Amino acid sequence: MKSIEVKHLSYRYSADTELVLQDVSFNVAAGQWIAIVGHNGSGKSTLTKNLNGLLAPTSGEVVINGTTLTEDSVWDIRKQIGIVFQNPDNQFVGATVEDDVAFGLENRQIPHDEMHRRVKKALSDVGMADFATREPAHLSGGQKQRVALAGIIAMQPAIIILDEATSMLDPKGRSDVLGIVQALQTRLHVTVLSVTHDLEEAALADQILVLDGGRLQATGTPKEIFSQVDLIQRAGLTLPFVPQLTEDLKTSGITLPETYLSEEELISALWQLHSKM
Amino acid sequence: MDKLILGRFVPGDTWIHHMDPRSKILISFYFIAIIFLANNVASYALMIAFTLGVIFLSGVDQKFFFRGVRPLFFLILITVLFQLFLTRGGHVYWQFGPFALSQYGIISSIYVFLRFMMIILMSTLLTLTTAPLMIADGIEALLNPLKKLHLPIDQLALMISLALRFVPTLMDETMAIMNAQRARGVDFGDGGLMKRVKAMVPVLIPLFVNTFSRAGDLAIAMESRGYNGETERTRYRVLQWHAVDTIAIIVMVVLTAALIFARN
Ligand SMILES: Nc1ncnc2c1ncn2[C@@H]1O[C@H](COP(=O)(O)OP(=O)(O)OP(=O)(O)O)[C@@H](O)[C@H]1O
Ligand SMILES: [Mg+2]
Repeated sequence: MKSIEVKHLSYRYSADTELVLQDVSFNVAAGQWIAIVGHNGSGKSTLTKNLNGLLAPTSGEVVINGTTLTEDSVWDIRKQIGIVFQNPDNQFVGATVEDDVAFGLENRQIPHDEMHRRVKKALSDVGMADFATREPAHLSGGQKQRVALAGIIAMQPAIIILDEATSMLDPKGRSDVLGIVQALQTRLHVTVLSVTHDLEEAALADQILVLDGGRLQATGTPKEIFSQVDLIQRAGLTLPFVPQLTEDLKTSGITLPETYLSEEELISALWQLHSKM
Repeated sequence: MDKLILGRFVPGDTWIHHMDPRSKILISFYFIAIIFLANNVASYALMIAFTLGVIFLSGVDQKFFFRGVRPLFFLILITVLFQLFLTRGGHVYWQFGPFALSQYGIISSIYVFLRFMMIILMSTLLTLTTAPLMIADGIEALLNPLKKLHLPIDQLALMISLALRFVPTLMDETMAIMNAQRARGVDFGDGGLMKRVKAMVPVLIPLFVNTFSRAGDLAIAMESRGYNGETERTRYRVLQWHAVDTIAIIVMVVLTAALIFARN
């Protein structure tokens, strides 16, 4: 089943400015992990805001779980999509950590006991259970990002959109948090759209969408995308270590049959090549 | 810097901390109202004994109360001096132009002083033992009946809670902008009043701009989490009326009866 369908989506912020998104089309199957990559200002955040009607498309169409996004369906669609935004400070609504996680649940009229259970669970999922009564002023950027994620997890949406939601986490925190989202993805079949500058993270995705200047330049599996070096460079990104190494080997004359994502794959390919020589 | 507004609350674990904010707010206002019924030594003594007793029982360190009184020191002093020298009546001990030191003047200035102190101490006790958020919750609950008149009490409550949440953030931001401007050579400490006010302009303008963009982002985040300002919302925080609240109300009734008995 298709979870997200975007058809010829274009968007401009005001009539006298250029299009920020131009004729973007793609489909996402339910339960997939999609990475959206692109340099600063390429339109990633604008795209995510078009998906739940925070911005209304200038032209084109967005369909979420079979429902076309319109003025009438927007509140239903927002129930199905949880977005963790880029700036953790500006999405912290509650006066304390637990209040903030509860905010979306209050809006959905979740009963009191159920709400307390979900807040507790979501906070322990992101490792913030000990901070439940803290005020946002006394949290680090990374901790606020965890809280923002907990607020979304607690709502149990069918689609989770992460707009650089792990940018302030340390490497361990980042892999922890991504692990939590991955677990949700496999256990509850949640669709995940993750905007990131980190191609190591994108390498974990089922599909990568490359945005450049508001156009969708390429979609494909990480292997397909990472083998197109000039595409990656034009989009202003750096290859992860292993695909980069494969590329460097190629330029120095050692051509491998394809691009590899993990060290093990590359090593075994090198062994095979070695035994053939 | 956030000490300025929020630091007044001192977290603790006493019975007064556990009281429902609704009853605390009601009782504080009620007490301030009945202070004006006191009109003789016995009734003032009763009210003072009550105030000191509550403070003692609250277990809050006395130094916090001094801090509550200090900013109002001049206001108290001037009011008391006015009462002292401008009230006439009874035996006059000293006179100079419109000023006089009279028997009534002394008595009424002492009463004014005591009234002031009791009001400050009781309201300080409220803010010392109740988290700002709880005060906001309490006010909201007390205003709840006004919803029948279609006043936007829920929205008002959310506004207060957002304001409380953003005060420290904006304080930090002000500091950051001031430092950025210092690095560019702006001097905030020197010169006359006009010069200092002028130095604040390059702080306030970026602060306003940032605040608006923050508010925009915040509105987007709230909306995407399903807030639309109209539909009913459930409550994460539910105020709970405890036995201690009922007892406190009863104590107030007894105090009122005693006060009426003591005054003449
Ligand atoms: N509110 C707005 N009004 C007008 N133009 C905007 C607005 N927000 C973004 N833009 C413009 O739209 C373009 C795309 O911005 P967007 O925020 O989608 O980029 P992004 O890919 O998310 O970048 P980043 O990696 O920095 O987050 C940029 O050129 C930006 O200047
Ligand atoms: Mg962005």
